[in-house]
Amino acid sequence: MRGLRFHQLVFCAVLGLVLIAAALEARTFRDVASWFPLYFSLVGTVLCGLGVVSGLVRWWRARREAVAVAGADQPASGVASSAVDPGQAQVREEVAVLVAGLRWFALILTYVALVWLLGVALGSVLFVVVWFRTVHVWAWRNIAISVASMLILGWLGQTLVDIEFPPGLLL
Amino acid sequence: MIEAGLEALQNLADPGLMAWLGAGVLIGITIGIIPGLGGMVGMAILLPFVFGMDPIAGIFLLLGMAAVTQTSDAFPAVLFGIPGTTASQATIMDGYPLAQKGEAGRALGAAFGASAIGGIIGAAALFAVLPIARPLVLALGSPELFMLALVGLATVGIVSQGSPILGVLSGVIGLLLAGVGTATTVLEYRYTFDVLVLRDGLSLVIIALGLFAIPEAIQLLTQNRAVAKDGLKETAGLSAGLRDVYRHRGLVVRSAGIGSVLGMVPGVGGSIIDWITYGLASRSKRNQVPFGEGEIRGVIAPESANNAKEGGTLVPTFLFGIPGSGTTAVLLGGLVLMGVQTGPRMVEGDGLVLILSVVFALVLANLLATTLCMGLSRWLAKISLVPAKILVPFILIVITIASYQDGERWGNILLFLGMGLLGWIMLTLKIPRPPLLIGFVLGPSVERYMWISISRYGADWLLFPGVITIGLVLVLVLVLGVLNQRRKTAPTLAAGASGETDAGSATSEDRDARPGREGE
Repeated sequence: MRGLRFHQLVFCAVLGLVLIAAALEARTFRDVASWFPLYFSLVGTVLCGLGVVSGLVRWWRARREAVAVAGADQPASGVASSAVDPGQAQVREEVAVLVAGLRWFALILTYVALVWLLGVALGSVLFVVVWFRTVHVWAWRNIAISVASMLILGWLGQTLVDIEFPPGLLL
Repeated sequence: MIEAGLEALQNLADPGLMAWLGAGVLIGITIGIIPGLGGMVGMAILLPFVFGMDPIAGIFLLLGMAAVTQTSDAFPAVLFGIPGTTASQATIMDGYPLAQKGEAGRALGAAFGASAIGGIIGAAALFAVLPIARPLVLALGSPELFMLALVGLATVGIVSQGSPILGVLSGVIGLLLAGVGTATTVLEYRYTFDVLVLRDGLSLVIIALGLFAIPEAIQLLTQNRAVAKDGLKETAGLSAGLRDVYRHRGLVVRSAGIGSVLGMVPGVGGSIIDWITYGLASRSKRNQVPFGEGEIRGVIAPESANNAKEGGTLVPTFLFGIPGSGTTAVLLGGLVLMGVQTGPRMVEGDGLVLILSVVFALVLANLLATTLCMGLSRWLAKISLVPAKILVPFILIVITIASYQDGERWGNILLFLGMGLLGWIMLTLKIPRPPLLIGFVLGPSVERYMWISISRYGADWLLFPGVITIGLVLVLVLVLGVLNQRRKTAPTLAAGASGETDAGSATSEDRDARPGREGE
């Protein structure tokens, strides 16, 4: 069984806690026939435990190898131990990607908040205008064409295919 | 039978009926392209219009729509990594990576070609099983259906790339999400925490949209590139995809056969059939590229199966009045509105003419849809060249509106965002997402059939011949899944890869999550 990477280990640990909570909640269900989530939550918790253990073992072995290699190299070149442990560098980079993605996710939340407040038509128009004047700068003519096309397609969708648009709080 | 066949063929020469079929096909193509809609929504939209219509005209309209949503749903699946309908989830796994390699045209050509042939085979299956359908459908009880659902769950081991533990845990998350809402066997709310929107359970559309659409959109933005990283390849257009379909014709026929047969089983939906055929195709030694990294067979198998399924679902619908799927449930309502009486008598007299007309309509609708989609794809494939920062805002608008269609509640949009966040975390941490969908789709079926089997048969159902047969298939699937995983990791171990780098896990789940390739 290959060990998990450190951040996967963290995910397993968190998931394990969630599954334990789910199993405890399932025990409160009135009818035994609805206890199905209890069974797979228990199985999942065991698997999370296995995953965490295998991840810790892998991490400990990688650390031991890195220390051994660093100890062998140091007299010759004084190279720091982290430079010979590419795994940690990769984990750091993946976490950086995760964090970078969360910033974009925040923009998505902003759009949804606009729609919630102003409705989908005005919220989308505002979002598109701001996006194409900040994130990716477009000429006003292009923005106007995009907005007009968007509104026409939206109207067609509502009329012909009965697409429902989420209402806004203020409009 | 021959007279009925000739009379049914005459219907095809009627320009009025062909116009209704064409209208249905056009509507179906539109609905398939727009994420969040789907056959059931299309049926519901058209239902008021068929009231009082001539039955054949009404069925042509409805079936023309339903038969082709699963052809055109390949557009968003391949071009954006967004499932157009729930039946195109598996198509994303290899269709989107192909688009990223600049082979969107090839992927679309293969999808449409496989869909057309699959749909025709499904229609032929409907025709072929008419005399024997009754014992076939009645042979499958709750124990056999439970085992079939377990086979579907076992495909988790086959489709999950990288660590099997993470794949299974992803499936467990899916099972957990499926448990939210009303219990399947008793009237009890589970994991709702007094939140009203959770009482109806979570929607598959929301889960699929959130899990795949948002992470892919974020990934495009973080990498600041177009879907097709290096442009469109001239040699990888539609015709290349059609040649692939011809080259893998055995797979097309096999997948269509599986789709047709499983489609006849009520409750086995398109998404289950997709994953089963995808999982089975992933085992083949003919795969030149690992599944999930742009193997064309990963597009052909599910697309063939999900179109063939449409013919299969009509068997219980017409012959027993039991809808084979949600879409056919609405179709059944339409048949009632048109005064059509379903049941075993449909294989006689006017009923037989109607069914044979349906068979021919399915064939025509699939061919027409494929032709139209081929015409559109030349232009739509170029969308994969549009830079992310131009494309993504519009995708966001579409998928947000799409998430609202199911139930028309703001709670669904919040759930959609939550799933999107989970999907992004899973993508970045290299935790496979497809098993989550599989667990979510199959969870209710597994639970329902398990409890019915136990309460009705005690432990005796374990000895039913059908159960044992399907059980052996299940063991085979599990063993092959383990061997598949070992085959993938063996080259890595042999090469003596060190540290955290694991070439064996270089899959679609991590191909672009590798940090530092194209920074923001």
